[in-house]
Amino acid sequence: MTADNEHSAFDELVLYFAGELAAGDETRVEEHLMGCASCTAASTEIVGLIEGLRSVVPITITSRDVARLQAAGTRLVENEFAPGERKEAFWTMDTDLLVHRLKVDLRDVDVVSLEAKDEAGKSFFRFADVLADKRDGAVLIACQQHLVAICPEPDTVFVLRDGTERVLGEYTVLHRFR
Amino acid sequence: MKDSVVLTEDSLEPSLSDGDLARRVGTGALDERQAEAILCRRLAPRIRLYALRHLRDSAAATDLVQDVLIVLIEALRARRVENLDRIDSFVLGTCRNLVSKQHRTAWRGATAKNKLEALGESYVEEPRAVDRTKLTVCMGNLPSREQRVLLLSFRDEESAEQIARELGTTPGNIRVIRHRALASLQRCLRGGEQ
Repeated sequence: MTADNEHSAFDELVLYFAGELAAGDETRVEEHLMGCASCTAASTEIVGLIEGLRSVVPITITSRDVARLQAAGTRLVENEFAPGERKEAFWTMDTDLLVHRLKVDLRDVDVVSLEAKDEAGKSFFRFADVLADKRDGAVLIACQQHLVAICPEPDTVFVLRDGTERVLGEYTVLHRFR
Repeated sequence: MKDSVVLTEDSLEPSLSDGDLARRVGTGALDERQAEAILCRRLAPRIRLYALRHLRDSAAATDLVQDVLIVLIEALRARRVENLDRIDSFVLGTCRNLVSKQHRTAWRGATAKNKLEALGESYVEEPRAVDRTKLTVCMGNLPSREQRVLLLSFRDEESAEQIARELGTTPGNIRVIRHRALASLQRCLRGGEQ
């Protein structure tokens, strides 16, 4: 921990904003922050991250997240895809989120990677270790309109692989509007 | 020497302390309003951080910033602040009083914004939000365990103890994972590698 006149370390600031500092340390950090421009700047960046995390919907989510989003009023439409399936998924004016439930056998699978590419094989992104719903046997893709910046084609192929690069399933989602 | 410098929009003086700026308020000096504006712009982010920690709500934080700055400006103009070199203590004390009042009653300073604007300046700038798409991608680059810890910690506001029970580890380990993941996100958002 830092002395009164020393700047607060990153870890201490995170503990402060998470509400996990002892009362005396919290008071010390607050008194320091109120008078220190550089720690204010560092804290502003941390808090900006935390604020972002409060509202971000990750690219892969769990069934618990789906329930929470629905309870909060998010208008979502779920589509289920079997391995190898190619079918349409529809956006409407009343849809906030599409959830693509990619069914996959996750027995004996510890790590699942996700790749998104177009049907010609051009890769948009690849994540090495995504959230997977083992109980449900599915990876849930939260498809959000702002992600068109990284996934520009309406027809998207999602590829799931295990930690040895073995393909667990390929799913082609044809995004359409109606 | 510092007192003889007249502040203008083009000569914002970073070496002037908060106390130096506070001393110009309530004196009728030519640059009194400039000093107020600079002081408020410096203090607004610090008040906001305190508010976000204790109120956990962005709109409430904005209200608290307005309310505290109103109290400060009125006190400075009326020359009621005793120790101008400890203006940070005055502001922190005001933050604590107003947050405590908010907890005790349903009072919110809804009229503070109008009052602040009536003082002649718009002092409070909303901070820029993190780029949502970039954050989503940077999150995706994290190992799934780190993603879960961050979301459970900050979105779901679960304690390290609760998360540790869910994930079958210790609270200390959860804090290590959380801090490492936040640092990785920060580097990614700044444009560096994770």
